[in-house]
Amino acid sequence: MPKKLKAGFYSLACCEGCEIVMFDLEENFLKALDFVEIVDARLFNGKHPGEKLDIAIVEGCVESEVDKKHLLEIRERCKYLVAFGACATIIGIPGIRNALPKEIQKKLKRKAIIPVKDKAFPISAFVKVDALLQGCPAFTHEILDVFVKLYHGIVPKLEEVPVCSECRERENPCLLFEGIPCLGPVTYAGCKALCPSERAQCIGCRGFTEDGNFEALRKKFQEMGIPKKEIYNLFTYFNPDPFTKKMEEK
Amino acid sequence: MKELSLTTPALAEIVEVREDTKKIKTFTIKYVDRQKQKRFHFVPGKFLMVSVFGFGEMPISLSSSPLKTDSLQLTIKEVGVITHAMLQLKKGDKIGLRGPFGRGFPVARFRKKNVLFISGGCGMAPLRPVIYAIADRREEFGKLKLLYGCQNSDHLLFKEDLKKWGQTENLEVLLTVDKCTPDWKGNCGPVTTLFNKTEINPDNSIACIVGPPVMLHFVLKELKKHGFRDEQIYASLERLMHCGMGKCAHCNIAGKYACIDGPVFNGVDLAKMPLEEK
Amino acid sequence: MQQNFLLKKEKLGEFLTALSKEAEVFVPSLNENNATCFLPYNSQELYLAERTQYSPKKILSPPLEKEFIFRKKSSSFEIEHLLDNKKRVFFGVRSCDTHAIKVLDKLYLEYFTEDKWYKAIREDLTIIALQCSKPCENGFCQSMGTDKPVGHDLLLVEKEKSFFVEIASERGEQLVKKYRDLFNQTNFTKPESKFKCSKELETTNLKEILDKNFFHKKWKQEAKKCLSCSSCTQVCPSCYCFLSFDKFILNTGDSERFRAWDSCQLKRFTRVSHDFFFRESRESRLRQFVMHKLSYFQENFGFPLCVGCGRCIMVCPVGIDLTEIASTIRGDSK
Repeated sequence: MPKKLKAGFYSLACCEGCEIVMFDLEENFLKALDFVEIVDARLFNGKHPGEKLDIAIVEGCVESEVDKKHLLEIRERCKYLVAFGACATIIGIPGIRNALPKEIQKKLKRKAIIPVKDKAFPISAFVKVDALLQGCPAFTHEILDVFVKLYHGIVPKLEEVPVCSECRERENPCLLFEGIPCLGPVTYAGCKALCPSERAQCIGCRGFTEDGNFEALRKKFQEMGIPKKEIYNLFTYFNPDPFTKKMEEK
Repeated sequence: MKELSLTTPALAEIVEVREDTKKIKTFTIKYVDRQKQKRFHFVPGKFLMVSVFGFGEMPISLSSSPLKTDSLQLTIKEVGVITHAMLQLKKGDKIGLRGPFGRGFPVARFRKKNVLFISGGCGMAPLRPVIYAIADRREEFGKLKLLYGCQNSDHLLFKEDLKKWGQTENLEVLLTVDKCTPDWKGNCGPVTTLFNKTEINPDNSIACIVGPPVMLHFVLKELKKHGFRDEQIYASLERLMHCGMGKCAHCNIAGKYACIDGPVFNGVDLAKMPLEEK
Repeated sequence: MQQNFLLKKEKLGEFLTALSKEAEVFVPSLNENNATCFLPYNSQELYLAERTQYSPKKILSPPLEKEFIFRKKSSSFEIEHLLDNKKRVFFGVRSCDTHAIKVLDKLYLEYFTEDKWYKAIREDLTIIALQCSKPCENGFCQSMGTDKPVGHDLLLVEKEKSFFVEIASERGEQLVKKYRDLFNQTNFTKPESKFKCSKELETTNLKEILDKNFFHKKWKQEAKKCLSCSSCTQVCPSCYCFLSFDKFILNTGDSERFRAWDSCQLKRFTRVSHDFFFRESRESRLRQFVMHKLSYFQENFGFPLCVGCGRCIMVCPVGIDLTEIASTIRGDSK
């Protein structure tokens, strides 16, 4: 049996909520500690900062040169790099600035932060990412899953399944029929359709699938009478970059 | 007994691992249950569902001689998670096997005929048992020709076998590689380029094709050009089955299932199938 | 001479309560999000107006099912089967769903070899069917010839303040015998239900017409609308495609094998090595669904896979309609 995995948790620009979610693992967190040793993490009081790592779990996006430098240094030290949560995988909330008009973007500059090209970037823009843990915040059962898989030498791969698939499994009525614009058809599943099950629309926090038929969904929203501006906001809420350009043209 | 071996993996032990190329290994395997090993037999072209416990299950074609019953061989290329895990296994490790499944090459029907083998990359693995079966009764068959293409010279499989068959069984082997390297003296380009390098005569001939989907598409076209009729063609299709028993429907092609009606299909059936639905 | 019975509506609750003491009883009712589906009976109000939005498929072939546990024992493995042998009763199954169960039975129990996981669940299942008395939204069972229930044990037909009960199998007869005091014997004959389905699908030569029009422009037009959300295959009572995968149990060498629903509408469905996809385009995936329902399955089994429940039409957010596709193609091929 291989030794314990050495893991480190790191936060770039984000709310650190994903790291807190680790505690939602409850007893499973203790089970995970049987084969994962947390050596470097502010929240878990890691004892050996700066050490070589098997897994680096990075949350948050890159908003400044400081973040970028930190990220590159982490990549050097680890074997697998896991992007943790929406900010790290798809920029998420901090990325809203990317979709804002230029003049407002400039006002957002603060002295302490040296922006990277005035924009927020997902970590995959600068380093190779081995596995993705999507969601805002990330999902507990998936975190454990990634640990188990990496322990056995499997690099987890995303399965391209839309949220609708899991929403139907949970036997929910479709929100699109109730006039609620839901991004389920184009968003990665894995959340067990958490929001639609509570009758709230999916806002795409797990990222958009490559296969999604965005044009058809946009048309559907229009037919439902959703104002153009609102459609734009919804699509760019969590996933600004792929859509800022495409939607502006429309 | 039949039912059990089809739905439940039977334990088998790896007795030998041979590294064919960087990413391809041939495993010699024996069932743990001696009686089961004794009863084991297969038709060339059939496949097994191979379980690497904890990683998953995948369909793999048998690559050993169908005459050899004390062990079986699987030739596996690393393409994904399960194959990667399989390639890490060593002598003495246990795997699970279900099957054999599917319909193989009807070798008896090739009697008194010339056989043209066309293979691409790993497609050589399911063809090896066919050649073994023919070599066993060589005098009953006509001329044998093999057109074999792969990525580069490092990826050639079963070099010794091919050499041996060339000498003893009068098998004419034509090789080609996709990417030319300075040390390669032979033909360059896809396997279809070999059709101009040799005489291809459709009279009294059978063509057996195993290769990736893209290759199959072009080879079928080329064979038609050379006058092969549908019923003279046999091709093995690549599909990723999850059950092997016609239930999961991953290998559904029109009304057929590659795991029950195939993976080896006659050209007549192939002509009715939408092979590449682009 | 077959005896017929009446079950008074006020006795229904008593009957179901008694049944649920000896078996898991699934009844059509509303879930917390007001969708109609089959739920375990817990004295809740029943939904008997029309067929439910979700079929009882998920109980027969669960969305996620554990097949095996592989236990590592030194250098070898111990394989344990996990079979679900619970006793179950489906109450209020509509004709279309009984036909869907027939499809699954044929596939899992007769075709090629039997599937023991399905068999375990199916073996101890009692089906109490309920005759429809009015057309449901989008249903076209009369066109598919699935408007008369099959393979059920009891058939209930609504008759004023009671249900007319027809015994259809030995298991059904036993059931009535056991709860004899809840049923009243009757001389009535089975009430005929007369209604016309809201949708129609002309099925003569449909297979030949669809096969011939494999590259019809309609496929491309519909694919443009399609979101590939896989809702249609999830709600379809006869969609059976599944995938299997393994999972390690924490840091032990033990692992489990699961079977989960898969959908032909997803790109990954036809993935083979080197990330090659056989049905990559949306058009080909949508066509696969319709063709499997109305043409391919018939080749092996002699009857279409579609049971005409209309759920795929009802659930599609962009209004893709299988009957409309078929009739457009038929119209153009004349």
